[in-house]
Amino acid sequence: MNDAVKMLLIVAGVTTGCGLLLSGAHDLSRERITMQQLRYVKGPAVRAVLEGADNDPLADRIEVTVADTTVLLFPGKNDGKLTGIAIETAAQGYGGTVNVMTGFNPETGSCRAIAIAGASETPGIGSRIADSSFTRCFKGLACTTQASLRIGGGTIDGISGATISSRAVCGAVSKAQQLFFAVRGRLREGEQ
Amino acid sequence: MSMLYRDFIRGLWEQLPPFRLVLGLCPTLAVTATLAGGVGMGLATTFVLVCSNVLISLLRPLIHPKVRIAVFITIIATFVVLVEMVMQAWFYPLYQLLGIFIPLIVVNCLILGRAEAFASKNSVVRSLADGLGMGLGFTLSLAAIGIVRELIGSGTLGGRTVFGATIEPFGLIGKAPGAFITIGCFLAIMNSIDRRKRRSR
Repeated sequence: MNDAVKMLLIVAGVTTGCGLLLSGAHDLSRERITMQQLRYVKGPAVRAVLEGADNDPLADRIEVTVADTTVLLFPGKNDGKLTGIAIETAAQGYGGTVNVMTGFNPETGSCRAIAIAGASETPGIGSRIADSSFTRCFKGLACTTQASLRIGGGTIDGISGATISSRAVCGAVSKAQQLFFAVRGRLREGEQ
Repeated sequence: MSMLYRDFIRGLWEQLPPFRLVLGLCPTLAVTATLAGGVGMGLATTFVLVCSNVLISLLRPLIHPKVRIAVFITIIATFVVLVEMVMQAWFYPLYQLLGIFIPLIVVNCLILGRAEAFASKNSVVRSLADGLGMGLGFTLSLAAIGIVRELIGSGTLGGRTVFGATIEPFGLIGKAPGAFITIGCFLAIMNSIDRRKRRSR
């Protein structure tokens, strides 16, 4: 009996101590870890779609809530003036989720550029969605035109042999377009 | 002092991990395709090994023999999570390179092995010396394997091109079977040195 109590006490003591230590470390490092993840995971895509911005879009990120989900907006500024908004969205591709970063012109709402922020599509086939020959099709896409493939009645030339992957990118971009419309008004308010 | 020195130096040749102990082979195979991966994994393991050795040795009189494995693993896992947090916060590219193998340090038998075989039976200072020696030995071994595999497997060292376009890299060495081949060659060299030593004696 005495033995069992001793065992219990030592295990409980050690696990409590370890738990306290880890929760403290978590609180101390959380902020920095979020920042680092943004910088290395989303950073390259954000910079690609907000070319020419002289601020740090990651540090200036805005959190907005649209239909109960939190959306991260990355604003690109030139001399303090808003020149671009990057939004990340995802859609189901062939080999998993395809994450797409879409940059918008805040004035006209047209698409500035897109970049693939993470995808695990088939190498050599679906992976070509990251090629500039495909992503540049979205450049200048007007806010009134929903991104969809030519075979679906849209304006985007899909990649032959990789329709599912191409369609995933279109889906993600049109999601971003909807989000952009939803937050556009609020951004203007924020500017004033 | 000479005993401490012996505790320290044991990990550098006589029981050099992973060659002599043949513990901790899984991370060795996985991350030593490059020098940076090997050194990063070695240092992370060293930190966990030293901290867990010291703490387990400190708690030695308290730890009930029947629950010792549970306590050891809890302590080791705590330090591994700490390493993971520090790496994510300050060395994110290294974290991306090592990926899943950082949390897997928990199941590196080298660390549990030293806790069970050494730290739970010896004083704090001796456990510290043992942890430092084993950790340094492990780091140097991984670095050595990393240098050989990166040079032969991809023709670079530390990410910089060494051979240029004149020599085609031997890709197999960069893959897992190449890790076995490299470790085998290292082991053969070490054994032949040992044999020569014994003969001269």
